[in-house]
Amino acid sequence: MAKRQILNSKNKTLLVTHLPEEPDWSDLPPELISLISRKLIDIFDFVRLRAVCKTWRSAVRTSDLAPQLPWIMDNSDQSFKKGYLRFYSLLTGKTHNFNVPRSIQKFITGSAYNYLFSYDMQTCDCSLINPLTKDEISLPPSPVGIWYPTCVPADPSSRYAVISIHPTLKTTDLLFCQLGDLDWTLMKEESFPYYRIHGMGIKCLLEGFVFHDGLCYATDRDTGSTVVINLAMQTVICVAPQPESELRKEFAYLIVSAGEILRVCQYNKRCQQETSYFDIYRLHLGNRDGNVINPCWIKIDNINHQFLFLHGKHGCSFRADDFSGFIGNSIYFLTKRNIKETNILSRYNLKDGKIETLQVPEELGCSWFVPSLCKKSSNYR
Amino acid sequence: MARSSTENMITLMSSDGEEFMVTEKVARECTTIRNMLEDDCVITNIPLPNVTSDILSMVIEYCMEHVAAAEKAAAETAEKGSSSAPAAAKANKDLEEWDKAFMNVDVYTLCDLILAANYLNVSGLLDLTIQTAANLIKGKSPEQIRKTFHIQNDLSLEEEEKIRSQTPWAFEKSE
Repeated sequence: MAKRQILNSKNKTLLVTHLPEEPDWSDLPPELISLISRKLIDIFDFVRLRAVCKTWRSAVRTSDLAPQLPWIMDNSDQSFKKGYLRFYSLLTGKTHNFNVPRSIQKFITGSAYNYLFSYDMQTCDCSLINPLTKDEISLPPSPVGIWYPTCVPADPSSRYAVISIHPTLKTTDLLFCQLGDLDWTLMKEESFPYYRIHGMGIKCLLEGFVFHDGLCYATDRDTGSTVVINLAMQTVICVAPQPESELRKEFAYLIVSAGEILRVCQYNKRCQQETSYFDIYRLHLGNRDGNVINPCWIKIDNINHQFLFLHGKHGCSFRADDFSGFIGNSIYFLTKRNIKETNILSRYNLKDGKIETLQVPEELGCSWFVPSLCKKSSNYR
Repeated sequence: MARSSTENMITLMSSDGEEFMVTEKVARECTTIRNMLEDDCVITNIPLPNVTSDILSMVIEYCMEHVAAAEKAAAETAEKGSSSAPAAAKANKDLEEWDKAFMNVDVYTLCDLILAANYLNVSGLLDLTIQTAANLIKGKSPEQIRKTFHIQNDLSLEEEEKIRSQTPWAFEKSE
């Protein structure tokens, strides 16, 4: 070790000598090893740290994993034929292959947050899979036969897994289940107050589901209003009408960001598929005597240090401080380029409204999930 | 005793008996010491049995640099009424550069600095040293990490095999 000379202007000059014995990194207190592990934002580094020695492995729990950015599934024929799933990491820009049995009758889609949703069209078996840990959580078999469900990012704390519009019956019934449920729960369309308002003839389709604080939020495709549902009680708590200032948008995403529900409206250039700008609203739930009154959307012009990721019909929110190279107060979104159907990742800056194009591999699918080392199957069922 | 509170001097004593005289302001950068001073305001001599003199001198060097940077920024703000953004950005960058150069140490010193920063509760230094350790881990295989930090592999072949089989993707050579 090099000797260090410290000149302390107020004191004497010190000549530093060598330590009597060298410290052992494997003796570092577990909480400090855990602190180091939380700085590793690439899941690969995190897993390798846990394979160094016994003390490091026991000091770092899989739940210490730092917040992760989504991985996007490659839907190309090439990976499909070879029987593995291929993912693109937004953080590292690398692609990773995972051996997950795939077959022609198996339908795999995101985003159930840390899991992908798998559905076998022959057996009607449904499950949630984590390709990283090979963890598979069985869900009740499909109650409606062949089915292309709408999958939602499950709120890890609420344990709600998948929610879907009942497609084959062509009604607006809602179908959902909680991890560990033996059967799917059907919430009849009559439960929705706006249904009565619009009358029997009008079809309402809910989309863009999110969970927050035990409640489920979804937007009606026709009216643009957002429904707040208590799934446990099977009741609609309130309906927030579409913001008056909202124009003819491409899509309105619902996103849980820093404890709030955001409505992110994506506007395209006139007669084009290209995005031109976004508007963001925050859900305000008026509260009187414990009852929700007059829910409304309030337009906001910044999301501070958060950034949003949008893809498919879902999005998620992250803290820019957790990911170097990612900029806060911005929206990252994937869109399909017109003719060739290739993907472009863009970043919209909320401050100046500028859109920047970033590099991504071209063959990406709509499915994504947030990588984790979750193994829930042991806790449920 | 002189009561000019801003220039109170505190003596810190390392485990090997070396004495370091620092201003109270510098000593207060260590939350552990700050708490001691708040409990007993006439304290002037603090023994630190967990920190050797060479590591303590480095911790003091870090605290002095950061106190000086904060004082300079405060003085500039007071002088001009408000801080100029480019000047503040430059000062931040300079301090970052200083931190980076300060972290040019071997892994043994780094380990001792982490322990000292944790014990003395110097949050900035703890964050800096922890981040430096994490940077040394990035992109390395478990074997390379062991080599970097001089760690003995105490996992049995069976245990290693089990870990690898749980997440084989993390141990494959990247494309």
